[in-house]
Amino acid sequence: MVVKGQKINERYEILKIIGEGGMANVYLAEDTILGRKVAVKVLRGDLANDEKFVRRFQREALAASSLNHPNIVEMYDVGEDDGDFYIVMEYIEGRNLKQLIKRRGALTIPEVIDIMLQLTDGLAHAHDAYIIHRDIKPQNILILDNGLVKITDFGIAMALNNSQLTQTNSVMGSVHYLPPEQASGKGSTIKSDLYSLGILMYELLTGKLPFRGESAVEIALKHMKDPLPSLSRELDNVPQSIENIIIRATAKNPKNRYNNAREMYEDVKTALDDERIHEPRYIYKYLEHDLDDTKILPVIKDDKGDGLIAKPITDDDFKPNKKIFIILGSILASLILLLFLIFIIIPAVTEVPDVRIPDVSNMTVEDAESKLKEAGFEVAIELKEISSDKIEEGNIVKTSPASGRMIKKGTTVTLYQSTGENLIEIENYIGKDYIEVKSALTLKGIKVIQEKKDVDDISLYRDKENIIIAQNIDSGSKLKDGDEIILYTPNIYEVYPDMVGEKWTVADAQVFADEYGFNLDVTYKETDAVSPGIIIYQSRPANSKIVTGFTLKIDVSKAKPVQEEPIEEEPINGTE
Amino acid sequence: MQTYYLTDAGKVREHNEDRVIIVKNDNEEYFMAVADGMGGHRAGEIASSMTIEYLRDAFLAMETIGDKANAVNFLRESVLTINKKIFAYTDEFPESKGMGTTLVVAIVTANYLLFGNIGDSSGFVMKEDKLYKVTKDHTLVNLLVSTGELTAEEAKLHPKKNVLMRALGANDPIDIDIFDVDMGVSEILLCSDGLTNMLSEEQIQKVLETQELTVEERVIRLIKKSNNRGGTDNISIAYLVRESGE
Repeated sequence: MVVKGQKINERYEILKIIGEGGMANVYLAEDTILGRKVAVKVLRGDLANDEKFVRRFQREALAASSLNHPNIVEMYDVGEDDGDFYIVMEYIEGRNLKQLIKRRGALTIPEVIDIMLQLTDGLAHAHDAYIIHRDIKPQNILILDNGLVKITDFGIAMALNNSQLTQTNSVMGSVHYLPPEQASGKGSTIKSDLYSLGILMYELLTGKLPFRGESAVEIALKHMKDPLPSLSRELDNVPQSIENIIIRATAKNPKNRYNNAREMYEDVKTALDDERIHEPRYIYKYLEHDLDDTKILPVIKDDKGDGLIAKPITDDDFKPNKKIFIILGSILASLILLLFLIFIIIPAVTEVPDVRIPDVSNMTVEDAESKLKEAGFEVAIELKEISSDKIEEGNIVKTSPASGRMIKKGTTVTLYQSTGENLIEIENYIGKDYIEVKSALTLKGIKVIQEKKDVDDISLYRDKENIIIAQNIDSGSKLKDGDEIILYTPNIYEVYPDMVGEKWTVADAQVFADEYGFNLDVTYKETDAVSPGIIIYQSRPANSKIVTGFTLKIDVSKAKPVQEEPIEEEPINGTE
Repeated sequence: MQTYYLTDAGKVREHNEDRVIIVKNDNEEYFMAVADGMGGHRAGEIASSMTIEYLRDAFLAMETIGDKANAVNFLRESVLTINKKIFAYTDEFPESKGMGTTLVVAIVTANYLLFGNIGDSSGFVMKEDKLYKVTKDHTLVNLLVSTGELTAEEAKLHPKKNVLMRALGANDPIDIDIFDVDMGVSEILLCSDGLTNMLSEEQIQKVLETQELTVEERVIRLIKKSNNRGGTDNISIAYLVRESGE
């Protein structure tokens, strides 16, 4: 995990987090070599295990780093530090288009034209270099206060979408800008970016997304099948030339779209010219649903193979009410089989009327029983116990089935009696793994706060930074839901020892350097002040923090040849 | 009844985000479940443990699961509660954002057999020496196939083959598919996609058919085979064999 103050690859010092996402976090950082602010995108650690992903990510990101255009966020560097993959980008102080739309709603036509010109210009540059963005959406477009627009995350989206890991472990993200060919798995071309751009233009003009739905698949299907809702229905007095841009960009058949971003740019640029305002509505040249692509319409999947084994239970199966009789009346004889099943599942009870279960919470057991019996229910003889911080001990917390539900008269209702507050007994967590304890306690409703605590001897805690060394609440105490506990973990940082003062030898230093992952640059200096082989200078002072990969310069005393020879030679010289 | 369950991190992942369990109550009713967690910083493990622990405790808190209607309600209400818990957790710990889990369960009683499923873990049964998959994966590709947008052949090559459309912690509200399964089945196997991505149904069936192996050995062999084929994901299996006459 990346933390504030950390220096990535000895160069980018993390200042603060500026964005969080499922796959990566973005940090504001200082490039200590060039002395400028940069944005560093650090990918989730476990992606590093996916070799295929790593290769693809590096390739795509490197390709994208070659782009240089005012409307594209510049990518400076790509690399890996200690298993974290990161991308260093130009830092833009601005908001993204999604935030702008959220705040402003629909933008004006001149504003949209200005944004679209910049976006098509930037895309044209990237497409010239054969780089497809593949994930154009307002979240990926930044806008500065002066109106300058910049596209970010070129190429990365694709790398991420193809990683093995995201495939198995992710829920599909935004599909609001998904081109039909991508939804049906046919892959992207530069025209895919134009489609997304068209959807984005619609959103900028209306403040709304053209295709909405309850699930990602519903939206994806709409992209594939439904015609785009008419812009003029959403927006009064919109010039036909403007609507035509969207019609062309968002064609389902890529052949009907602009050939490239530059063509779209030219069209946007002249859209408000006098002679174009009343141009006719754009008509597609090719069929929207391409015949080349004919696929044999699959026969509706015959589920009978599974049907013998299992039958899905639908909502209606256990809601026996008048609905069934309506269905009965209207459904053909072929469905009698299904009804037969339903009647087996809910034998006989269908005749009894439904009654709402009264709310008996906070009542005594006797009161609750009589109220339920009054309503026509049976009450289970055995009471169940449950903890509650709201309901006094001994009173009823809830029933099963729950109050408010419509249930057959005569159904047996179980009462849950309160055992008072749910107290959690705190154990001695010292020596245990912080993350495990935190998860366990959090599940029980305790708020866990982690604090770093200095330790006397850091060497004892190497590789144990997640070990709990103290807790602010003693074991045996009891906490209730919502209470806090502070768990202390050691504040680990490695420091250079006082090699000079402690008279270390080169061998000592080498062992230490190997252990902490820094390099030694040894210079031998002649001196007779100390015995030979002893370190007499270290380039980083004692107790300063060790940086992995750093090179520590040390001077080591070297004595013998210096001492002996001149002493012997001098008298000889004198005699000559 | 003979049961065995096991989970293995596989050969690539450092953590095991799967959770698996089989429990039996005093009324000789069995509850089996596999959850495959997702999300970084160990959040996947938290989501799958929260889910399995909740279900285990809730199941064991009841003397009996009751009739089929009760069992269906139990599953529906439980997943709603678990879903709320996961969302509450991510609200409080933003670093766990995106955490979620799949869930496949089976409830086995003397009178009925129910399967429940959210996501792309699988529930299989063996009947008359043939393996049947009961659950339907909630993947994008599967939905596209069911709407006729993709053929089964195209689906196999789809680049987003394993993208989930439904998971606990990802959809709100959440809906669980429930299947009323034939009582004539002889074996039940629940597993995470670590198994189904590595072995075909034929290969799974072949191992389950091997009568010389004990119940335990069959599960172990399935996991070994998956690891031999790459083991790119965590593998979990819950397996139950009904003895003849039961």
